[in-house]
Amino acid sequence: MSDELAIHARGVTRIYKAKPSPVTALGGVDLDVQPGEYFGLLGPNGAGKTTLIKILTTLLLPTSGTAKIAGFDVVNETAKIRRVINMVAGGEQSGYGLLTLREQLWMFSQFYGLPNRDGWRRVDELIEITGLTEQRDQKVRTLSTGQRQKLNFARGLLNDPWVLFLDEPTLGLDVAAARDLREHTLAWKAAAPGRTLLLTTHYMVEAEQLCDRIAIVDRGKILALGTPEELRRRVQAESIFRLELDHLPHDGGIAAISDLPGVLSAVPADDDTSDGAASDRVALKVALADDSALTSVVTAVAERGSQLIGLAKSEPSLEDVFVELVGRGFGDEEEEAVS
Amino acid sequence: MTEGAAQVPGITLADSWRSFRTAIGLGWAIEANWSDPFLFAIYTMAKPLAAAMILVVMFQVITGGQGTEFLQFLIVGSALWNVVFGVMGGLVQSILEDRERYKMMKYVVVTPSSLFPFLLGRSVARVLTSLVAVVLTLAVGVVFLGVDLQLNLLLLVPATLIGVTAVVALGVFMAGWCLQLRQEAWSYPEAIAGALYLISGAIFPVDILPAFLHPVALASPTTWWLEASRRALVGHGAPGIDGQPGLFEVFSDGQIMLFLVISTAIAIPLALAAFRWFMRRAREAGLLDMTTGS
Repeated sequence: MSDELAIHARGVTRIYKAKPSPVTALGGVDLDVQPGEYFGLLGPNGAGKTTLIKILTTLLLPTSGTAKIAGFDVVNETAKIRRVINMVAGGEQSGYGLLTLREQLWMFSQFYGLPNRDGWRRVDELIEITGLTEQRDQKVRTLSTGQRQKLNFARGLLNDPWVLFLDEPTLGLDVAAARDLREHTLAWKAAAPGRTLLLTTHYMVEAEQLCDRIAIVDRGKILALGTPEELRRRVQAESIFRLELDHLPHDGGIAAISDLPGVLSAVPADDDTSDGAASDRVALKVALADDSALTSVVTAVAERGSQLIGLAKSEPSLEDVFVELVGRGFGDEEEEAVS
Repeated sequence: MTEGAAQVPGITLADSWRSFRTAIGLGWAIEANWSDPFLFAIYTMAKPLAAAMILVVMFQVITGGQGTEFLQFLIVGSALWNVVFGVMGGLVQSILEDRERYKMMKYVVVTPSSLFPFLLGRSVARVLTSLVAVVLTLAVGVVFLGVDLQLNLLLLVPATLIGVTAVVALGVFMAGWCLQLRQEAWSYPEAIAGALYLISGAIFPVDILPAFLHPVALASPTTWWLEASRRALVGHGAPGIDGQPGLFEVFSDGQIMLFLVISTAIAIPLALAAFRWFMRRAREAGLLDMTTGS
């Protein structure tokens, strides 16, 4: 079974020796990622995301548990794994500053076993794809943070890996550079659907935009795993709509809506900014058992003389999911743990 | 992916050779490109010459210009020790720089090429600049200090090849060890090389050492390399003390080479095994991408 998976982990635990007591960075992680899947690990600093990536990329040994990449064991079959993976880490100023961008990429093409001519061709191709053509002969030390990260990303694609690990790839980048990198990542997927990505991030938008499935990680454990839609449904089973009316229904007011079949509740919306003195406009938050009950709500409102001005479905964000699962937000724990 | 997985090879000799070749270029770029070529050439020449001259001046002051045999001994030892300092220091510096300054070691490690050929390639530039320093120091010794060069190439070439290999093996061991340590570990190989400097007969004969250090000296391939190189360069090895025959005088050139080969043949697998163990330990402890900068 595990041979068919891009990533397979069972009970992966990592304990770091530390004073005054050992730190458990990973507490028994189970994970299966299918070939062709874009998978995200979403969690705050110190959640254990980077530790897991280090183990899966053969940089770090697990304290216990097993993990396989494309069926190869991360402890004993490192040479085979290193042929089919690549990794890109963000938030660092890495690179041989004395080499030009093109030289550095070519050097790594050699480490990946590309024949000389093919290496240069691949390097030039990636330079163009990542928009670094103007900087191709610049020394790495002269590149901006964003350009260095694009170079890093290009290096990560040199061997056209089966599994690409991106560890906080947009950390420290400006908005435009981060967007470029996400677009390159999606383009890489589109070019060959069998490619697998494991992304760690603490940016919700990035996880949602790039990943087919997401695992929410905290303190070394996977708290929830599923598609973004499935994760949202975990914390919000009902459908919630925001209705904006020109005025409350004449006959029965809010109760005329909340008493309808399929309506679980109807209350004034928290963000209702309508000024009661100047207008009768009102915003309601209506919870339905499922979306099909919406028709009867809209009909009832119209029958009671109110006009529907706005209608929006309210979706919980991934951060809502995280808060629900962990009991705190992403920004509440910023200290860097061992990872 | 599953079908392809069965075809995935491990590390091949071709991978290692390609990594080695590529790393030579990187090593040279890092070694030479920090300055313009003229300044780099001046530095490469001035550093070993200055070190040798300090020793020679000290020697001349102490002996009052007597003792030509010891002067030759001193100059050859001092010249050859450039290789030991250069290679051991270079290998350790490569490990620490790649991990902490360039932050690229983890990216090299996750390629299919092993870190070992990469490190060896990185050290080639240091070996070459060290050999240039050896030649320069000897040339100054011949031209200005009366060193009587009696070249025996049949002995010099194999002694140099095997000796440099032994020094690289010691450097690999040191590099693996320093991988376990903090950034400041760059000074450790100098300490180890300094200790070897004293016990290997670089600046004074092994005979002078306390008897309990003789086995240590004789176990080190650098001792045999220096003795073989002296015989190949100036026609005789380490002189005796107080009119007594020197420790190595009982050995023929062939026997000296044999001891050099044996000690190197022991040092290489030990260094490789130690490096492999250090790498494993680095993976266990998460040291391959550690940043300890202070």
